[in-house]
Formats: sequence, C-alpha cells, structure tokens
Amino acid sequence: MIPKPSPWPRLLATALLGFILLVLSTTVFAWWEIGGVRLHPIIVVAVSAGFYLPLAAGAVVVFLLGILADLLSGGFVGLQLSALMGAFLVSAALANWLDISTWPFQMIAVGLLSLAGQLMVVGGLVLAERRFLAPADYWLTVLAQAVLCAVTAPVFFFLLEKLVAAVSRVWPRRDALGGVR
Amino acid sequence: MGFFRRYRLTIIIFVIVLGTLAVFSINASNPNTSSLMGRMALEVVGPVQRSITWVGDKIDNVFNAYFNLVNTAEQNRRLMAQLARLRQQQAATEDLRLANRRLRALLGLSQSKQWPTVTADVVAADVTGHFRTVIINKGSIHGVGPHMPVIGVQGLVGRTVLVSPHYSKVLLLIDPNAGVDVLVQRNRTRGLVIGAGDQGLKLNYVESKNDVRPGDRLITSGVAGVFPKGLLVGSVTTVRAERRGVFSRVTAAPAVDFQRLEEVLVILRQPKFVQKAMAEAEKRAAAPTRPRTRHRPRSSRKPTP
Repeated sequence: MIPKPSPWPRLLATALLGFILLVLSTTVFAWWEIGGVRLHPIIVVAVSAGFYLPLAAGAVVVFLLGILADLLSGGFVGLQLSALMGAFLVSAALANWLDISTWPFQMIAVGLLSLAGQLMVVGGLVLAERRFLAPADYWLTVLAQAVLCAVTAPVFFFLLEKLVAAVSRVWPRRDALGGVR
Repeated sequence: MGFFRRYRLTIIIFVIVLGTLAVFSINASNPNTSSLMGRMALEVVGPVQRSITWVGDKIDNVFNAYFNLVNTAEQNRRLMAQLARLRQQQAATEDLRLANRRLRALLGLSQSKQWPTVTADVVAADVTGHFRTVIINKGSIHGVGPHMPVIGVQGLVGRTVLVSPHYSKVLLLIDPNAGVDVLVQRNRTRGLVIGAGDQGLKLNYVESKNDVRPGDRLITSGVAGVFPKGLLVGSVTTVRAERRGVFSRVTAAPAVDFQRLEEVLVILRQPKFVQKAMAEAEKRAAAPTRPRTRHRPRSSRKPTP
C-alpha cells in the first residue's frame, strides 16, 4: 500500500511563500509600482491553497495571511481578509471540477479572482467610507493590476512547487509500515 | 459525528464566513483590539522589511554612485551657487526671526515652541495600492507615539497611526483617510486638505468668494491639535468655482514627493486629546479594583448579639 503524501510540506511551503510575498509586496513590488499598477501576487497563494490544500488547513493559512495583510495596510481590518478568503473559497469550490496545473488555467484563475478580490476591496471601501469615490481611471488601474497578476501567476506557482519539493525533501517520511524514515 | 462528516464542507465554509464577519464587527466596534495585533505584526514583519529595504538601498546606492559621477561637476557648480543664495536668505530670515521675537515679546504674545524630533527611515510601503501608508523604523522606545506629525525635508508627510516598540505606521497625507486643516499662506483663507491618492490633494470648504489662485502655498493651521502651525503642506494647482454651491473645487500638489520618500522626521509632540486619553487609561489601570462579592467580607460583618 502506497502511503498518502502528508499535506504538511505543502501547507508549510504555502504559508512561507505567502509571508515572503507579503513582505515583498510592501518593499520590492512597491518600489516597482508604475502608474499605480503594482504586482500583488498574494492572491496566487490563496488560489493555490484553495486548489491544493485541505479545506480547513488552507482556510487557516489564508485567514492568517489576510489578517496580516490588513494589519500592515492602511485600511480597516477585514478588507484584504475578505478578498483573500473569497478567492480561497471559490478556488476550493472549483477544485473538484478544474485542474490548474497548466499555465493558461493558472493565469485565468488568478486573473479573474484578482479582479473579483479588488472589486470586493473597492466595494468595501465605498460602503464603509462614504467619501471614497473611485475616479474613472481607477478602474483601469484595477484591470491592469489583475492582468499583471494573471501574467505573472505561473512564475509564482512554479516557485511554490519548487518550495513544496524543497520542504518535502527535508520533511520526515513514513514508510509503508508507518515508521518514520 | 455522522452529521459533521456529512456536512463538513458546509460547516467549514460557514465558520470561515462567520470568522471574517466577526473580524469586521470586532474591528468596527472597537478599533483598539486590532491595534494590539497590529503592533505585534509590525514587530514581526518590521525587521524582515527593514533588511530587504537595506539591501535594496545598498544596490540603489551603488548604481546611483556610478551614474551620478557623470554629472557631479555640473551638479557641484549648481549646488554651490544655490548654497550662496541660501546663506544670504538664511541671514535675512535670522534677522526676521529675531525681530519677530522682539515684537511678539512687546505685544505679550507667546513664542512658538520648538519641538524635539527623531529621524526615521521608511522601511516599507502599504501592502496594496489602495491605501497610502508607510512603515518607519522608529517606535515607542524612541519616544514616538500615536498621532504625532511626520515631516520630510520638503514639508508635511503625515501622522503616525500605529506605534509598536520599534516600528510605526504612518498615514500619508495623500491617503483618502488623511485630513489636515490648512491656511492659504498668502491670504490666510482656511480649508481642509484631504488626500486623493495618485491625484495628490483636494482642498475642501474653500468659499468661492475667497481669492485662492494656482501656486498659492498651503500651510498647517494648527487648529485640530495634531499638526503644529506653519508646516508646508503643498501648493494649489487648480481652482474651479462650482456653478451651484458656495465652495470652489480646489486641487493641490503635495510639497513632498511621496514616490521618493526615504527619510522622515517625527515631531515628538503628542496632541492634547491623545495625552488626555492616555492619562485616563493610566488612571483606570491604576485604580484599585472593587471586590465583586455582593456579600460583605466575614471580618467586616457586625458581630451578632
């Protein structure tokens, strides 16, 4: 009997990549912002968690990342969290019907969910802060950002798989008899 | 047990949605609960952000040092000329300052106070592009507190909103949540500057009858208590009188270039409302807690005859 692979390496790799991308979003990606368009690849982590992680474990990782993103951001707590959780839940619901192991599907999934997530954030801002009114060119920025996320998504999926492989190599494995190797 | 196994997916989704809503609701009812988590997040993520920014700065410095060599001679000549002009200006300003002090003393007016400052480096920007906040590498152990003004070389940058022991989050002037009471320096017209993100600033509540022109400099009025009077905020770019209503639509450009923000000064001046709130909190914490028992303690009961 072949033992079922442990979900822990992927869980740890997803959490680690999420943290790294969150820090990079506040530093390197912020420096490279062009015309308000900035790389925001944290959505890749939420999508990947939805497709590849067990529901409860993935929810915990995305929840923590969402809270951390909100605390480091200037908005009220719950805004980024809702957007990431929304992306995670939609991904988890689609996981049985859709395979995102190829790059075109990765790009489509990340692009659409990034767009939906940003619309949630802007909608939340308009509802919560009446004076926040998005100017006309704001929507172009939102769209451009979603396209940028979609185009770069395969790179981050690739990095995540490499990280999962690296963690799996050092993770203790169980043999067919249940012993730790 | 069978119920949980059967409806596992629904239950987990329900818990997730409920948890997200709970975070919203807790934060909306009491923002201070999130500040503890926020301080912890700053302390955990801050050192990593600082390290990455340090590396980035070093790489940037290497490139700048190389490319700047090309124009160094020309730049040096220009800066020397500028220095000479500024020295003359400084001497004139010093005369004016002393005259101002003498005249204020004669009129019995109070002298403007010099506040201590602390220099800080910007170590990180906001996670998303929707808000305009930065994280600086000075916190409560350096004397920084919430709602302290932050300035740059060119003018007002913003104010601190969340302070952990070693790091602080600064709400920039261009964030839609930022607001500063200002004066038009030329004619002392009052208005309220609101951040408009990439569009710069909006100057609200300026009556159409007031003479405000493009190029007018905006300074803090010192009225709201957070910012000291006289800090440069920006300059007016467009003025458009509304057909209906009494106010003009005025836009302004911030004095500070927020794209190149690297070093800032925090003015160690706590607004009075924060001092009051902190004093009340300390008083509450120091007050002895009343015993919760409804019955009097046995020792204090009167002896029964």
